[in-house]
Amino acid sequence: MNENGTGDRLAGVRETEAALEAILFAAGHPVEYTKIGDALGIAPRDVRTLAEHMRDTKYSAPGSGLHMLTFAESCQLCTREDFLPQIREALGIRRGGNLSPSSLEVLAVVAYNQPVTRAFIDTVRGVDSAYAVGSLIDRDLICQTGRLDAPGRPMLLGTTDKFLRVFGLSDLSELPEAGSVAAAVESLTEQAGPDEAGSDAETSDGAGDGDRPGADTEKA
Amino acid sequence: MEETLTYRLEKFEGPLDLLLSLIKKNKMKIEDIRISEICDQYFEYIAQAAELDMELAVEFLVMASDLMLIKSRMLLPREDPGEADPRAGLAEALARLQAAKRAAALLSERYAKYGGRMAKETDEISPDRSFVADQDPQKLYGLMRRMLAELRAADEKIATSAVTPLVARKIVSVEQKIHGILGHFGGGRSSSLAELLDDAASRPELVAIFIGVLELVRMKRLVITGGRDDFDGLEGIGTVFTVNPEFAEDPEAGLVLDDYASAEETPEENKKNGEKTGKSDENSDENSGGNKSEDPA
Repeated sequence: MNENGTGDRLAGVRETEAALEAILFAAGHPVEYTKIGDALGIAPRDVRTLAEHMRDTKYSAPGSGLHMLTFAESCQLCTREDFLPQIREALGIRRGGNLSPSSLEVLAVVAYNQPVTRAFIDTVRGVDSAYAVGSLIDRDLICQTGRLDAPGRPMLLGTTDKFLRVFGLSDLSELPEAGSVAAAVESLTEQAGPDEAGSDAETSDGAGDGDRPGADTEKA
Repeated sequence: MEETLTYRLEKFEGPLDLLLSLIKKNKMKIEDIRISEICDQYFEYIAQAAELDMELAVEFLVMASDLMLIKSRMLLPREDPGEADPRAGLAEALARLQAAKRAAALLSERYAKYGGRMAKETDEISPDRSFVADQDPQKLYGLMRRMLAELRAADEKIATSAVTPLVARKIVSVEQKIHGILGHFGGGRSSSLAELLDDAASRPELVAIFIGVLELVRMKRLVITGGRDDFDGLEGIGTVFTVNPEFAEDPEAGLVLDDYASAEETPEENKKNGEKTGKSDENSDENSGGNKSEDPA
């Protein structure tokens, strides 16, 4: 009888997994754990546990053409990156999707220091970056996340879910180490010695990256 | 001279980009730029660009004047030894750009690896997303509670982050949570453990709610009326509780946390105490009930 109960429960979990897969397939975009939980009648944290379990088993197996991506609040199905050439060939997608060096630079500034303003990007790069910013917004790699409470209420930019997907990240804390401009300036003033450590080094870019602990990025 | 020709005709993404490349070429350190050397080479580039009718952004000329300024400042003796190096601002700007370039290179590697992850658009059956008014009140009530808990959590996050980590440890009283749990059951509803725990906005609250539920069950104020085990490792989360109808009539019942109360206190006083702390600020120290869970972080 006990065995029977375990069997039933296993079948139930299987069914829930299947339902989760169906939801994510139909959606395409990332779906929040809370929404899935409401639909399946289970707690959001169980949805996440389930999604992570599927990610590590079913979708990590060599026989799978799909990946399960688990983010902080949502999960998503996407193709395995290895099959890009085949997908392109079969669907007649011409080459593209390359990011220019200047686009990558802008993206790096946004990713490591978000939320940032256009002016901040321009300051770091020393040139007007309007074109690269526009093209990154068009590609849905960055988006407006709000407006800075300052004269003119400039747009604040941050990265998107798509950014996380195509850079193989599940969380911004997984960004590879080295990149924050504030950290760069700090290390510079350290090298320069205490005498010349400009007192404005720490305050100059309040665009905020302070709350990302660098040590956590090791796992990427 | 010959060497300079190779980069003289390159196009640069702005003056900082050009300076960075000059510094690299001359094997200098960003924090110790030989300004006069760099200045000469920079002006050479600009002159060359003008000769070739290359369009130069105005930023290049701004930087040229900045460089002149730094160069002239370097010639003046520094009277106060504590005075900042005239090159400090430039070094800072260059360090930032260098960091951005390094980060871009790292991102580029990841993009080459993961850029092939494709997702699709949502299915073509045109979805009807209009809100249906016919909602289960119980469900709406649960959603409202969750929303309020999330808002409160967000508020607290802002409040604590504004004050620095001096008050990082938050004390949550179990008594107060017991009031909350009983409030959740208002009107003789039943509720699963998962739903009760969903009200928690932080780990200490989660612990306090859990202890509170155990306590209420021990006091027989709550009874278990059902259960559902969905997942291995999460057993019990679906256990359903209901208020014990017999118990509610007992006037002596109150909130007697006898195990936790100090010896002198009568149950009656204890009840008042519980109510008081229930209303008071969560961070306050007057929750002297001894029964607390603290944030380990």
